[in-house]
Amino acid sequence: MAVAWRTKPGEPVIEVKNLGVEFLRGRRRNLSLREIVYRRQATHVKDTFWALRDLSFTVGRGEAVGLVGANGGGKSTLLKMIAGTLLPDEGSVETKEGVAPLIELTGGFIGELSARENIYLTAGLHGMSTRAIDERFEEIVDFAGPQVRAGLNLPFRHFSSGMQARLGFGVITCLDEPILLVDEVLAVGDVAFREKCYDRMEVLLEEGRTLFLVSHSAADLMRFCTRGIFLRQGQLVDDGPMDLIMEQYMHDTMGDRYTPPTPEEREEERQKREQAKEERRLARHATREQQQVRNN
Amino acid sequence: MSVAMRIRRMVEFRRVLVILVRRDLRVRYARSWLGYVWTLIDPLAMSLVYAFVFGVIYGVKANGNASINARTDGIDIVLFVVSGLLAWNWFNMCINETARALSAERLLVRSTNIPREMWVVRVVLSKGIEHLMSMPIYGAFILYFLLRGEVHVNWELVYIIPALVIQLILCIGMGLVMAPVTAMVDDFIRVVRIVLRMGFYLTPVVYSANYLGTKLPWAMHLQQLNPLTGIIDMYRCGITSHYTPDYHAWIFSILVSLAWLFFGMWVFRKLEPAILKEI
Repeated sequence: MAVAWRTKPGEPVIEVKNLGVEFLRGRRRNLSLREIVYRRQATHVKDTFWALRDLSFTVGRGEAVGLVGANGGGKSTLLKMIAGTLLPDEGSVETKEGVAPLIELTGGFIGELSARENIYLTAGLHGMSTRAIDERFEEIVDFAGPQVRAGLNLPFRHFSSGMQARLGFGVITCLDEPILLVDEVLAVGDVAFREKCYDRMEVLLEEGRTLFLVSHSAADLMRFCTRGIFLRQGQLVDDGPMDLIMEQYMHDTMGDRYTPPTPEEREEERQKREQAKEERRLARHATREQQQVRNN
Repeated sequence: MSVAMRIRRMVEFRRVLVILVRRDLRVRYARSWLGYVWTLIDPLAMSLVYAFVFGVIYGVKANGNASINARTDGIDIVLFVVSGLLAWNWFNMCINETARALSAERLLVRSTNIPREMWVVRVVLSKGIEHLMSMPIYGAFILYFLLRGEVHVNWELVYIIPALVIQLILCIGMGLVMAPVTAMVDDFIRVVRIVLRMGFYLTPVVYSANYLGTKLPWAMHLQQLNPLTGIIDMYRCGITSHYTPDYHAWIFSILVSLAWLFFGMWVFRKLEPAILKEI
């Protein structure tokens, strides 16, 4: 399916300029009026840290960007800023295309409503029209699997967490938005489902979408991403081809225990990945053709 | 983001608003037929309580002597209270519920990028539809007293429509302040509840503003600044044809409501980045 882009080809779809966001470090963030009156101060002691600072980069169409960095590096924060669910304190993030955020997958679901109602609600909240949901409904449910189909009219809270995640993944990846944001959500679900998700992501990438992936799994990052961004304590360390960024990150965390591959090895790895990707693509085509034959 | 852009985005996302409001109504009404009965019972029960306290205990009667009569603008206490109480209930509900609008839907707010004002507007609209659904009570009481010949109705009843619009603006404006402030300051809502309870008696719900004017003229002028005074007067002017509508209060209602709307949009925009980090 063709992706509907609003920007012209060659224009950046995400533009981040001098981005900074500051968080309070305090354990309890909320204030109470009692405190304000007694202590006569409207704010806590200014113990803050910058989760992201002085970050600038642009991302174009069809780029698959992997974010690497240790915990607390600002990867998830950056993803939320791109999704627009956090707002910058400094600088700006311009996301010029629609976003399908695979962040907090089940966040939009209401336990009391049935799975069916939830699909309509969540997809609707992400901007899908009722008619579009009607069209994609079968696809979403198919993706979520037969267990979910059987429980379509049950309250969502009766679903196992795996089933909930499947449904979430199904809904969000059907959004048809040009930018896909993925934050470690693939950790849930069994092996078969994970493979299904990976497959879906590859299909979406083939259609030319832009991807942002946060993961601690080197294999996943190498599989999907062509470009890497390395964050350390909210600062941009480096931005470059994924495998080089990965090597840098490994060196950064493990020091001398890590031996980087020789250029020949690196080239060999690259080719191996390309080949595997091509094989998977062909396999997908084959199954799709088989299905079409069967349907006819 | 400029105000114009924000409003344009809200218009763009109006469909989401419909989804949310529909969901609220479904949760409330589709589950059980009792849902609608609750909408009616609550104001009905409260009106009867006030009618008992003020009508029976304190002896406020429509056809008593002129001075007692004036306390409810010459209308039976039940009808008088209902006409004010319905409007007050909507207002009261809006303030209480918009205070929780962001924190109650924390997960949804965090995972979707719809204009965040929507979460407030949605509460006000859902409660507004419930309010409309409870309006038949007012109609039924008017009909009852009309048949008994104790009340005269005139065309000014249509002023209820602008009253609804003004109140909508007021509630959205105040809600836009309530939602972010309660998300930032834990116990703000407690203070608000106390203020609301006092506000109930400072608003001419169970007594007539005109009567207050005969007792304490300065207090009546002060009360005209309360936006609900004008709004409730508009609800009532169709059945209190023997009094001139309180146009001063009407003008203040419009001005104060618009002021709240602008103030609300300003506060919301200021606090939004901080709120998103908190919830």
